[in-house]
Amino acid sequence: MSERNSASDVTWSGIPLKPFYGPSTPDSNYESKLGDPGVMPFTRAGHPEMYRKRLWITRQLAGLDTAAATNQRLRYLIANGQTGLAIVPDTPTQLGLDSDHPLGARSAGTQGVPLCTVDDMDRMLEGIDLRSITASFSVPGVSVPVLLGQLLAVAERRGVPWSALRGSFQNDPLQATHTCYDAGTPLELGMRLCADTMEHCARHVPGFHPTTVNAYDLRESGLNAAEEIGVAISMAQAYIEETLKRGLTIDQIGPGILLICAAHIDLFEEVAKFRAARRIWSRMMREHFGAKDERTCRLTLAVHTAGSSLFAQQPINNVVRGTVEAMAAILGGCQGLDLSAFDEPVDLPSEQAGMVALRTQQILALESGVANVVDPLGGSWYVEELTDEVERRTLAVMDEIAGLGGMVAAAKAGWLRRLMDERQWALQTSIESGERPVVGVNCHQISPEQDTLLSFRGEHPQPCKEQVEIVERFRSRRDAVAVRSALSALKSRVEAPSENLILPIKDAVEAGATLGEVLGEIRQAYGLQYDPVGAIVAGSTL
Amino acid sequence: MNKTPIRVVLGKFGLDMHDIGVKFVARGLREAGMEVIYLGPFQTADTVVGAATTEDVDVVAISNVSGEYMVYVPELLTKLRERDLDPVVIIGGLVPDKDKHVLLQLGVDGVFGQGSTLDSIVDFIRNAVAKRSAVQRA
Repeated sequence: MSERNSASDVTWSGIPLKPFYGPSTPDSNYESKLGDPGVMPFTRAGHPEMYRKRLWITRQLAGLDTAAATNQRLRYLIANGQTGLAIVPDTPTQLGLDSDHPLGARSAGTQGVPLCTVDDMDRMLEGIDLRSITASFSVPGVSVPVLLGQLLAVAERRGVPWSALRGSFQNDPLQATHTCYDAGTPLELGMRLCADTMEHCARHVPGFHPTTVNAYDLRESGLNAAEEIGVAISMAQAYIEETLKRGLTIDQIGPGILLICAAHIDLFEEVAKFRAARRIWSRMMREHFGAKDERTCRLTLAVHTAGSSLFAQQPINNVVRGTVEAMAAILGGCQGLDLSAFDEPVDLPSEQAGMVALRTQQILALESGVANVVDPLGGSWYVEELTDEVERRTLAVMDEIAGLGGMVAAAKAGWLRRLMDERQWALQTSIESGERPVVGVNCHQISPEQDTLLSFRGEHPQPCKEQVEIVERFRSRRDAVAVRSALSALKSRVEAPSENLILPIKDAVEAGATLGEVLGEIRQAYGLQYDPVGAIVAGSTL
Repeated sequence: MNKTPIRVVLGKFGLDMHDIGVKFVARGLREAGMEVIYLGPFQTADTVVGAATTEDVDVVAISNVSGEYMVYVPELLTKLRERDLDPVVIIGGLVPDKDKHVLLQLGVDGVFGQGSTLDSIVDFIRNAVAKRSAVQRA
């Protein structure tokens, strides 16, 4: 995004602005509950100057057809000034299946980029300097450790030290298990792979954020604001506790964890939510985990505006909804922001809608003045009371989860699934009944014949046949003996529960093992069927 | 008047994982008095037809967000015919207009795209099942 200039240091009428405003004589209540921006407990903001120093990061998700096609797209984005890459793997990759898997072939490359092999990863990043970009992978589930293995192998091929790599994964098995992204992977295995990834990054890839807890999908599943962050922070807690068992300190792990939240339509409640999340996080890190490093205590928030708040009727109105939500994210001090495309509930997101989403952010950043002062709502009686109340309710959710034995136990007991189902039902029925007003949907409607301001002619993308051939060719050229030997070495490490699997996974992908083969080997060592969807058997691809 | 509840098998084809909408529909059909056999995601034509056979259903309902249904639905219809099954088949979710026309021509009974209400789905199923059983009795 084009950076702000000195015009942003004054109002449109020329009134000079301070970086932030606060009480003339801060009392102990202010210091313990709020603190100045950039000061513990970070309620007001993670950094003292926020957008005055650097605007939030705008990223456009990329991932289509093949690694080569995605490479073209990424290089285009870099040429246009983007420094952060947001990579979405396709559905088979998310689930740990190869592009030539019988079900995988029917969706390869349609909703993201296929990354089956080390060559796919290499090709996708060809001509891109791994030292100067950050690469964020939108992937929560079992394929994370394999993609990390591929990335580490590519870095070695190019002579780039692992410590120079920047980026993130979601690596969020508790989330994956509630959104079908786990493809039936037992939580024990998911948690082990998650901790393996976090441990390996903490020790060898310190510039990487191995885990981005996905609060966004929790909100989309129907949870309310306090439940969204309460469950997400409890998930983070579970990952931290699992990784602490590896003999790391909280200050080695904490800075590697991010949160991605939803920004929903209730502006002030959302602002309160972001502020409460930072306060709860910093206190949890300091008081519960004994963090000493401020970076551990400072929560980094990425925000995506809520797809579920958008509606198919009179879809242009969704631009307004997105604007309110983006404003909530900015007023609440997010570090990264993406808007759902306004045509998303009607059709497949169009390029024009993507452009409107970007322009919305730019208008808010450069014209509206909402980014000119840090935490502009701080000190409002309403917003402070709401922040306290969201915090109270969030802590109550976290206490309930702790009472069930933590988030892993709560998940296994079906607690979260039940909560999601109940909340989704209540939310949707309240909209269908008209109890909760939604303009154009249950009030102020027009007939479908009149609803013609925009017409859409979207198409689902076709599965990419070329990618299936790429993987088949890769298989035919590799040294099958080396692959078998690397996979059997991996298997023996899986069977020793204290072994970190990232290096043997990296060795296997370097030897030519595919994503599906690596995960199949791991699944079998856990006594599970080789293929999570049961379409192929072990050894059929070797 | 048919007193036995309408039986519906409901699922998602292929690797399409978005299950928020389909779970809402599953509960809505149950609340409307139907018996719902919810198969979840990762289904193929074979698994859906298998369930439709053993469960002796009146309705086969498929939800989707990705475009994979365009591969699976023709297979589903063929396999239903091969087994002499004639349930009401409905497709819901993110269905562009272009696909909607193709699906209806293939023999799908109803398509419930973006913005459809639960009530409209329930009404459609009741009417379509009543018509189908009237035809079968005649």
